[in-house]
Amino acid sequence: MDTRAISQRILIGSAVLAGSMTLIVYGIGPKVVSGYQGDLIYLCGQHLYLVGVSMALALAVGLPCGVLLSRPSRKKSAEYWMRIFTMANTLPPMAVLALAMVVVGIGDKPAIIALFLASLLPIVRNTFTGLAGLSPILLETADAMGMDRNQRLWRVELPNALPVILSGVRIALAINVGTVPLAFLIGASSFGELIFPGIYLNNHVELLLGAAGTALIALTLDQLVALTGSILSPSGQA
Amino acid sequence: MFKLSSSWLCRTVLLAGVLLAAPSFAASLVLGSKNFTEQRILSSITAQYLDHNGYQVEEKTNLGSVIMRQAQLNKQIDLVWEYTGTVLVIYDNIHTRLSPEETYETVKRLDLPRGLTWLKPSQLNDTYALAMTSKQAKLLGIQTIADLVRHMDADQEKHPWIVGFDIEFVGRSDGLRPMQALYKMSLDRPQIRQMDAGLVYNALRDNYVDAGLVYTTDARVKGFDLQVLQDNLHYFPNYAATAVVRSDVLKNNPGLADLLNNLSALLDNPTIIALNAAVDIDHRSPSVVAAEFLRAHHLI
Repeated sequence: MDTRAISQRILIGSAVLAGSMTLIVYGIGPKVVSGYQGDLIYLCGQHLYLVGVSMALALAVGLPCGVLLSRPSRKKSAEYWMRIFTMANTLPPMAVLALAMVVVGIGDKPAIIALFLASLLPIVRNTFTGLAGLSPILLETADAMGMDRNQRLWRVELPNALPVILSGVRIALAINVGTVPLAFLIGASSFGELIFPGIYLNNHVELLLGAAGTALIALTLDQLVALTGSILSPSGQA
Repeated sequence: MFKLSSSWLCRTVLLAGVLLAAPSFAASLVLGSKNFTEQRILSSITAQYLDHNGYQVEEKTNLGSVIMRQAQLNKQIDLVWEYTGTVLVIYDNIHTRLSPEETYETVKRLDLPRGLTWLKPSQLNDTYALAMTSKQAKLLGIQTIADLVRHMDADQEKHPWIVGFDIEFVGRSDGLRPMQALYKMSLDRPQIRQMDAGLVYNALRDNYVDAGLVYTTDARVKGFDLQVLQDNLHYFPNYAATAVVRSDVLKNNPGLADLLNNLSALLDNPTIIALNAAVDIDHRSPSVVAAEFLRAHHLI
């Protein structure tokens, strides 16, 4: 993908973002929104912090696991291992929050544990699927060129599996950003701090701001990952 | 739609009952309650007691304060345990300091035209308070909220105090902002930690927050060795738990007011603290605790 196409994409992305933000601010009333300005900036930072740390951990664990499971020696047992990750994902985040709270106390730590578990499976699963599903011809060609295992992984397998891996990362990210507000209940600040009191006090403005903030973060981060993908990927798609 | 058809169903059944001159029929009531332990217990006590006296009670639990109030005004809920101070400040917007009796008379008078009747107030005063661990409070010599504010200001630069709150208090009009104004308490955004109401006590005990908002009838105040700070400027009004029933419902069910007043007369702070302790500290179910309470008073 050439630089012009990329800059065009950035331009369109930011225009859509700015447009939707204006629409929300205008819909609620600029005066009301400016009253929440301090809250919004602080909570956005906290939200991003929780997403950032938990996603970084999930990537750090998920990508290597996916790569390891896709190696030929483990192909037979891979599905069994995958079941462990699937199990981690089937625990409802609310239950993980409550359990983690018992062990590590309240605040950001249990939230990060729950978010980490919720985003792990799509990353591992897609890394594994992306690598295991590569055409044998491609791999044989790499071997025929005299590449060793490492070279083949880094130069042939990963770049070609990138679109599938990245779509897993995008799914994980969407789940992660959307789950963060639940962490409000155990004392971790995020846009949930507008959503829950908004529900209990029937304050629609707060509720809407919290929900819109969460959605905007999800969209922005998703676009960023897609963009990274189109810069990195040889075929220019993610 | 379901509501409508079920109410028609009720009427048809009622009519049939009257026509057949059935000896008795169960009037059905919808009972609302809020999102904390005490309300769950009160709801369960009331439901079981009324059930025993021939009413059919449908419990709607875990409602936000504002939502419960609106549902009752919209006739979706017939009866609730409401607190005098909540209605005075949040719905009637009265911010002058009133005595407990004046508070009750005021909300009763203002709610009558809205179709809600306040029965006799109980001695149960579940007001808000700020609390710290007894150890820390003793160490620093903090007894009142004013003391707390003095310490917070002194430490603001190098160790800003973290204060824990429940879900509603920060956004309520009888909540944090007016309290800050009265006590000249300055809190930066990161110093305010909101969470599930029941967790504030654990957060205090485990030193995750330095001070926190508690309900004075919660058993964990004593159970977790917390010190309630005196409200030396009298910010918090009286929050007497009182049965509030839609006037229509009272008119159609002549015995109902007396039954609820019987319950009201049994409720005071030591009683509800003991009941809350059974649920929050001994981890027993609210309905079992409620049944034991009723049996102990020979009400069921």
